[in-house]
Parts: sequence; C-alpha cells; structure tokens
Amino acid sequence: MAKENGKSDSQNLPASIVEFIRRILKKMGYRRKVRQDVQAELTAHFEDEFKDCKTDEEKEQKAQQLITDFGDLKLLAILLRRAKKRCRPLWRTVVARTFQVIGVLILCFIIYVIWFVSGKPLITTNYVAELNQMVRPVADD
Amino acid sequence: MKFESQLLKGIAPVVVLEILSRGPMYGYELSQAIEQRSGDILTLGKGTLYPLLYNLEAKKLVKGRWEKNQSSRKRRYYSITSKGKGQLAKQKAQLRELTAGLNLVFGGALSTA
Repeated sequence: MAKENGKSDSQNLPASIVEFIRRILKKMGYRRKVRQDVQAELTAHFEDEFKDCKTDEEKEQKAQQLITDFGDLKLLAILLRRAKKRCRPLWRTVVARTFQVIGVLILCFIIYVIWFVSGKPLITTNYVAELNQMVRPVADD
Repeated sequence: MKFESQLLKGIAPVVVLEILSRGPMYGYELSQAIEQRSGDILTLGKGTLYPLLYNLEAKKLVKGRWEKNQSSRKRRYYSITSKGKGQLAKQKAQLRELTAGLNLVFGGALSTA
C-alpha cells in the first residue's frame, strides 16, 4: 500500500498530479487508512493514464487535461469522503455516533456550567417577607 | 456527446455493473472499457468513477480487492457480487421497459435515430 506522502508510488507522476492527489486527500480528511487506500488507487489510475506518455512535456500536458477531467477538487473530495463513509461497517458507524453524542452532551454540560457559574443570583420573590406577612397577627377590630 | 448529468446519474451504476459482470476490473480499465464498449458515446467523468465505485461497494453490489496485475503493479480490482447481479438484472428489465415506453412515445424514432 502506498504511504500517504506518496513518495513510493508516485515518483513517476508529474508534480502537478502528485500535488492534485495530495490536495484531494487533504480536503477529504477522514481516517488515515482510508486516505492511503484512495491515494494508492488514484496514483495507480494516474500511472495508467501516463503509461503512453514518452516525454515530460507530453506528461505535463496530459496532467493538465486530467486535472480538468477530474473536475472540481473540493466536490470530488466531498464525494469520496461521503462514499467511503458509506462503506464503513455498522459497528464503526455506531461507535462514531456514540462518540458524537457524548461530545454533544459534554459540550452542553460545559455551556450549562459556564452559564451557572457566571450567573448572579437575582431575588425576584422575597419569601422571608411573605412568610412574615403570613404569620403576622392581625388585630381584630 | 455531453449528457445531462441527471440522465447519466441513473444510467452510470447500471453501465458499471454490466461491464463488471463480464469480469473483474480496476478503475482505469473500467473507464476505458466503458468508452470502448459504448463506442465513445458514454464517457464517465473521472471524478465520478471512484465515488460511484465506492457507493456501489457500500451497497455491497461490487467488491473491491487489491491484486497485482501482469506488470506486478498493485491495482484495486472490482468484481460484481451476487447482490449486484440481481440488481443489474432488475435494472436491465426496468431499462428495457423504459426504452419500450419511450419508443412508443417517440413513435419508434429512438431505436432508428
């Protein structure tokens, strides 16, 4: 499997393509192993695309054409990430969702604690006065 | 010809499944095969191919595995699963019906054009 820096498999590729793959992976994010898989696959694809190119000039021209053919880099990264996420097994989805819920709960708790600590008590009802009023003897006239 | 993306969106998975039903292929090989077998009419965008393959893999319609080819290069070969074959048969039947319906609407002009 190719390493994420791509030096092992992408030495024969033009610099613009290596940079293109690097940017896709950077935008894609997600797990390292998945990114390595995608990188290896894209590298293999580009290697095949360049197998008929003899000169560096030819390669560079083809590289520019391929980059255009691949379309919007950001959109491609989003699509790859989304598709790879769908591939993960159910248990991994459950684990991810559990951590997300825990994260949200911790965030809510932190916000509540900040609100609670930073707030100042505001007396709106004087219960002592009300109690005194209740037990105050009323003179019978 | 440049097709409407929505039109191609529904057709692309069927085309990929059909090509893969003839034998396992890797991404580049698959894109070439689609072009060749459609007489260069269908050209799946390179940026569409891999997300499409991963989506089909997520639906368990195709299965990918790393293998070395003749030139001892590692490639990810995709093969159709039994679920994929079932889905392909279903979609082919739907396409046949759709084509028949469209032919009736267009007075057979679609098949002769």
